[in-house]
Amino acid sequence: MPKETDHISLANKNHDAMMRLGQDLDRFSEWVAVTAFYKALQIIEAMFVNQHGRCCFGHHQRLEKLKKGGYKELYKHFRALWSAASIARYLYDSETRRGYSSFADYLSAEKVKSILLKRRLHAVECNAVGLLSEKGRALLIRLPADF
Amino acid sequence: MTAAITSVQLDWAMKDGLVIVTPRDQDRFIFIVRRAIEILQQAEQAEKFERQFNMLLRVLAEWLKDRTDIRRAFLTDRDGALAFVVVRNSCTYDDDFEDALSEIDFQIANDPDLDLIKMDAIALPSASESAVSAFLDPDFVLEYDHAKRNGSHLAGEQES
Repeated sequence: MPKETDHISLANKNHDAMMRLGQDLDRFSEWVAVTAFYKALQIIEAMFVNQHGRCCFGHHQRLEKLKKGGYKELYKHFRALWSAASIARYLYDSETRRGYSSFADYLSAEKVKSILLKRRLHAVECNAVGLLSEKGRALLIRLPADF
Repeated sequence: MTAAITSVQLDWAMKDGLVIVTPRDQDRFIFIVRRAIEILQQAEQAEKFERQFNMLLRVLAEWLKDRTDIRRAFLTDRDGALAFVVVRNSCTYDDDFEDALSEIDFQIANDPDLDLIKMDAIALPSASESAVSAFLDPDFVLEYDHAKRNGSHLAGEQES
């Protein structure tokens, strides 16, 4: 089973990808949303390993553990990231183009940054960091303060 | 070719201050409840699960009844759990809506009278039937008759 620090390393890899894709946010906004979600997922997994000694299998189990484990704030922000990433990956209409036609209709590049990253992902980081070990905290690359 | 969503419609009404939910096709509804029992592996507590499932339908209807910002609402299955999928009237993300949906999802997960229910909730922007169908298991779709209540229509019918 992966260790807490393994999950932190994976969170940092997603962070790196997210920041690189974010350099061309207009073009890659949905992939910034997806990598932000996977960064949050790995932070949550690291937190679970540190707090409970085990990680989760599958999206539902993870959401359920957050809900039933009393992690309401973490859950609220993580669910918003999960939802946006699901829409980025699976909502597509090549035929009718009615209503939603691209991820930018849903979340503009500017809102991906201001809402998904600066509000939701930042909140996941802030809420989870106190639940990590000292080593996990030290290793985690967080969103820059001036982001 | 567009994917039409085949669902069991849930009619609902207020009676003496309570929401009453009635499946339009009882035979197909029973089939879906049995499928939910299989998916959530509740065969040993089937009777209790069925009561909780019906209660869940009422709790969700209660949440939906005052919302005018939802176009369609479904209960389906996804990733081995139930999924409450709502399609909003608008195409754009709404932070407050996401928090409201998280709140009802959190309440249901922590309701001791719904302890056999495993469910996640997701809000989709206004989209075509074809696009929305990617989030629904074609063999397990319950749809609240929400459009009838608030007079809204499918995305394409209103916006094209």
